Amino acid sequence: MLSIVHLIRRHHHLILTLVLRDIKSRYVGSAMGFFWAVINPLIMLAVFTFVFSTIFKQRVGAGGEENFFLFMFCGLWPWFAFSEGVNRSSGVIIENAHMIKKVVFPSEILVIATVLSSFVQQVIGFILFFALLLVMGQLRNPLYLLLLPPVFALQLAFAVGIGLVLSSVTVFVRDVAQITSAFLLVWLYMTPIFYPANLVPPAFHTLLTVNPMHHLLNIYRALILGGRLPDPVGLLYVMVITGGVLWLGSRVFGHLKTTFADLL
Amino acid sequence: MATETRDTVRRIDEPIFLPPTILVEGVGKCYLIYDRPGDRIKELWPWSKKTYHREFWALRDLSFRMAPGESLGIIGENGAGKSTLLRVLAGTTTATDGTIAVRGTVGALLDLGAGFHPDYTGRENVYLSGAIMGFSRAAMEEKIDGIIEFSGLQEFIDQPVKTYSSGMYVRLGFTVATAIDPDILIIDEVLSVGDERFSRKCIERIEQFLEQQKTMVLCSHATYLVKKLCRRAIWLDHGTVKASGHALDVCDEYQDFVRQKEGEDKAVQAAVPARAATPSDAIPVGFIEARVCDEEGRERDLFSVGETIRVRMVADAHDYKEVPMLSVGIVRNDGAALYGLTTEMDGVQPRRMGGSRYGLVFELPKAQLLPGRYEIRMHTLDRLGVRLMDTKVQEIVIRGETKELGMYRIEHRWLDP
Repeated sequence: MLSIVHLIRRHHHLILTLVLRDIKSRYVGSAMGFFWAVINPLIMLAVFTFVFSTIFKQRVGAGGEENFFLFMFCGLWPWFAFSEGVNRSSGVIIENAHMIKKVVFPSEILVIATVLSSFVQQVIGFILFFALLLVMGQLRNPLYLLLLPPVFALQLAFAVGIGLVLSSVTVFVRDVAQITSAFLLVWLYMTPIFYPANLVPPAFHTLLTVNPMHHLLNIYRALILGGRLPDPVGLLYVMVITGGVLWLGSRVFGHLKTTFADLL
Repeated sequence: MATETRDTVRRIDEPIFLPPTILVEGVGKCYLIYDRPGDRIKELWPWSKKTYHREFWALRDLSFRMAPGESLGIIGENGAGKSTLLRVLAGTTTATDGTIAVRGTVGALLDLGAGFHPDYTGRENVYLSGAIMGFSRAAMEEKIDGIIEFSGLQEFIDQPVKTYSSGMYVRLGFTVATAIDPDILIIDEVLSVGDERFSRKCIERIEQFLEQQKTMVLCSHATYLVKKLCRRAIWLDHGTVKASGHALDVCDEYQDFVRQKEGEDKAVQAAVPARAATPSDAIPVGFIEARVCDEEGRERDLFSVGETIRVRMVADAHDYKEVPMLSVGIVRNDGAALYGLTTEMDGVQPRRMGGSRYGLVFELPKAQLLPGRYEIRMHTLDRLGVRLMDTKVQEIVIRGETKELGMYRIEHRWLDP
């Protein structure tokens, strides 16, 4: 696992280059360019808010007083970055076959760059979000925002770990890339983003407890909306799971990558 | 002077005090061939031991080493494993057996584009390649102008690389691979793609490169390139080393082999008259002796360029009443005819040697035959040279360290204009 950190440090320039290229390539040629990265999710956010809040009359908080839009944004925005990062990672090795076959470089970098690239949009969105909160006077305790970077790192590490497993296995079993999107969709709805956790029937509470994303999003909500420290148990759980997934990812990827060039 | 038989592999005097930059020991590479992708998954099933794959050994038990300043050429037919070897050396694929140790940075041109991303522009790809090799953007910015100039792609450097022609690809790829100044340069069969002007620039740059004590491994079908740029060469056949040694020797051996195969193919098609079977007891004038030897009469089949070659022929005329005619022909192993004549053309008659025997020695003083494999064809004919009676064929090999092309060195001079 430490090898990943070491890798990032040694090749940070290459990773940066790849991230920038990736972002540029996604919006090259379009008039609005990079703004689409933010506008698209915002549109979705607006639609979800309308559907869940106005039509379904979803309420958040003990007496329904909390703002649903803020609650949902705080959960959905990181989710977009996470889910897009994982989704795109699953196919990244296959898509870059020519590079893997012809150039010697640690291919983990491709996964890292992909996850980072999706994360950039999260950062921008968050900055806008904070500005919005400020304006709305809902920013309870701005100092806690300083605790966000480690949480970001945790989210990224988690996504990279999953991405490493998926991307390497996909080379052998192409179906994995297809399954990933479906799986992520299911995971999305199983995580309290469009609904508060207290609405979940007791029978499904176990699912909530084991869902690392649930705890991760709670951390975000605590720090940003609640202006308080997150639940330590949840935090610990996320850290342990992230560590495990990252370890597993680097092991699986490291083992499988020796045969990439022969299969692509 | 060549005195070994053709099967000996010459040992190269390695500079053993210099630590090797490339060390290859017992390397083998096996590809598992599956008929269907699904079979690959079936094999992962831990409960079943059944295998669904065929093994294809692209490389088997290869060993060699290289010191700084050395250049190695890899030749062989298609499918011999040359590209696989280069890929294993460059590190893009891992060997199944054996060890490979490489010391220093490696610049590899394994395909036309040196790993370029098709959607990025040439400029972006230069920076990307630099980043992959660990160069900062600042370092690449210093080099980029030189790269653009050498490759001659000023007009197209900001176009996506997928729009480039194959020649442009090679130009950029080669320039980038060498511009990053690697310790080891590995080039696979792509130099033939560029135009002549660029080929010359390439060769110049490679020569500069070698002068700086860097190591180079080149794979090419153009044996003249290998002869020109490499000191040593390896002939790969079906994944194993068929010959290794001085580039000139190995290339000559390989060319002989190729010509032999071509000659055999042609011989199968066209019945070679010289081998037309005449039942031996029906031969009126038959050879008792038909051998090729050197000046001192020792029978040899391996000569150096410039050595005197003698063909000693003695025939028994039995009941044939007239003086027979003898003829000698020299043909290269691919069927190319070099020279042929009869004793009558020179106004010479075979000497009477007692009984019914006649003999003559045909001498090529300081024969200027160029390296290759040849057949010396000897015939007996009737007095008028109409009827071919007996035929003997002796294969000989000419060896030499020369880069000249052709079959025979024609006497020449160079004069002031």
